This record gives sequence, C-alpha cells and structure tokens, in this order.
Amino acid sequence: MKFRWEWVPAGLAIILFSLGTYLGLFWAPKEAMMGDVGRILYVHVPAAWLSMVAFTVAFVAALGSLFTSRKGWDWAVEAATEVGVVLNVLLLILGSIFARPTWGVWWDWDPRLTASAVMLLTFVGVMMLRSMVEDPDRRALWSAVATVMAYVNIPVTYMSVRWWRSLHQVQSSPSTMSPDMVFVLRLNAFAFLFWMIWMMAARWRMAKALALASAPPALPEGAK
Amino acid sequence: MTLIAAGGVISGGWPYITAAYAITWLFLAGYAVYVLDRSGSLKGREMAVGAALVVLGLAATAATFAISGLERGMVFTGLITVGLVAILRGITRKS
Repeated sequence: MKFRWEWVPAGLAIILFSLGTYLGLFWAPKEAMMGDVGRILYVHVPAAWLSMVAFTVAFVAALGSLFTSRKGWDWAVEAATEVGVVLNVLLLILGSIFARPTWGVWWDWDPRLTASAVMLLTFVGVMMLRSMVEDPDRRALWSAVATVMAYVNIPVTYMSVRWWRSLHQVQSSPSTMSPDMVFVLRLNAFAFLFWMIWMMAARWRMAKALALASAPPALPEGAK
Repeated sequence: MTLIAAGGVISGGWPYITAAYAITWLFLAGYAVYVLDRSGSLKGREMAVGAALVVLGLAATAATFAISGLERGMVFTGLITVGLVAILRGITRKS
C-alpha cells in the first residue's frame, strides 16, 4: 500500500485525542465554579477554535482561487468549508450540552451563540451555492466570493464576547487557569488540529478526483 | 434538573459530560469514515473497523441519554444532528 503523508496527522490525531479524552474526563482538575461540568470545555473550546481555523483556511484558499484561478485552490475551498461546517455543527451541539447545566437553558440568543449560528448558516450557504453551479469556473469564482463574504463574520464571532457582554464568558487566559487545565486543553486542541489536517487532505483529494472525473474529455489534436 | 450545590459550585452533571465526549467521538470518527469511504480509501476490514467505531459512538451516546433520563432537549439535539448530516450529504452530492 502506498504511503500517504496525511497518515502522520491521522495517527497523531487518534493518539492525542484518546489521551486527551482520558485526561479531560479523569485527570484534569474540576473547574472552580462549574465543577466536573467544566470538563466539557476540553472538547467545546477546541471545536470552536478549529472551526474558525478551518474557515480561515477556506478564506485563504478563496483568495488564492480569486487571484490565480488555479483549481487546487478551489478544491481547498471545498475541503476546508466542509470540514469547518462539521466542526461548527459539533461546536453548537457541544455548546448546547454545556449550556443546559451551566445556564439552565439549551439555547440563548446570546451574541456569541447567535454569531456562531450565523457562521454555520453562511458557510452552509457556500456549500449549497457550490452544489447548484454546474460550470466549474463559475463555481470556483462564485464560491470564492461567497467564502470571502462569509468570512467577515469570523472576527465578529471571535470578538463578540468582548464587544457585547452577555451570558457567554470572555476568552480565558493561560495565566488565569490551572496549568493542568491548560495542558489538557492544548492537547485536545492539537488532536483537533491534526484531525482537521487529515480530513482536509482527504477531502481535497476527493474534490480533485471528482473534478477530474466530471471534466469533459480532451479534444484530439487538430480538432480545434 | 438542578445541579447547583451549596456555595454556587455546580455538582455532578456527568451525563452531560459523557454525552459531550461521546458526540465528539461520534462526529470526528463518523466524518472520517464518511470521507475515507467516499474517497475510496477504506476497503474491507478497514471499513468494518470504521463502521464499528461509529456504531460504538452511537451506542455510547444512546446509553448516555438513557442513563441521564432523556430530556427533550437532548432528543432534539440528536434529531438536529441527523437532519444536518442528511443536509450535508444532500448538498455535497454533486460537488
């Protein structure tokens, strides 16, 4: 079997996430106010970070696609958007599970939650746009523009807890957290990061294969 | 379900914690199997292992819900997940 470079991040993701799950559930100390429920943050926070990272990759790829028109960038937009959407859905579900015991509700129209929901809807919109456009060149152009527009909401989502104080807490600093908690959080964040790299690489190759399979056959020489 | 104990610190909540971790594993493993299967990377035994991981995640999630005494919100969360996966599958079919 031919070796593929993404098996390295795949292996690291599985090892680190197995370790991170154990440490998050049984080793990390209880959070001062939330008690054991605070253990949810070791999966909730990395899902939030990495969904934003995935959308940032989509944004950079969209710019690359706009400026160079190279197909590889367009396949990267497709891969990064889909992986980001999966992480964004996971983020909202984990946030909902976290909110119930800590806030007493499954959902609140808090600025951070609302901005995160808008983030999901806009990137699902990009995916829907891609599925509706048949012509590959137009699909690349339109989805790149839509991705750049959708990305405007990412800094707003990140800063929402600072700009509008509400239920959702402001980002914590490592200086205000127990070193053990910071360690487990970073370990899980790296597990999510390696999973994201693995998935984006696999999804990019899939997008390339689908594009090549659907491309019309080349004209024979002298036919033009 | 009230979880606030004396002193304002939340006590317990393990059904929520296990549900969060089970759903995370389910999502990450489930999507990995979905992508690797569609890209033709999984064959035979690998596919069986991947599917078993997803079933294990589903079983853990279901067990967590059952133990925690099934609140309506959790059921809705599960239904939304299934719906979103269906939408994802639908809108990525052509791309």
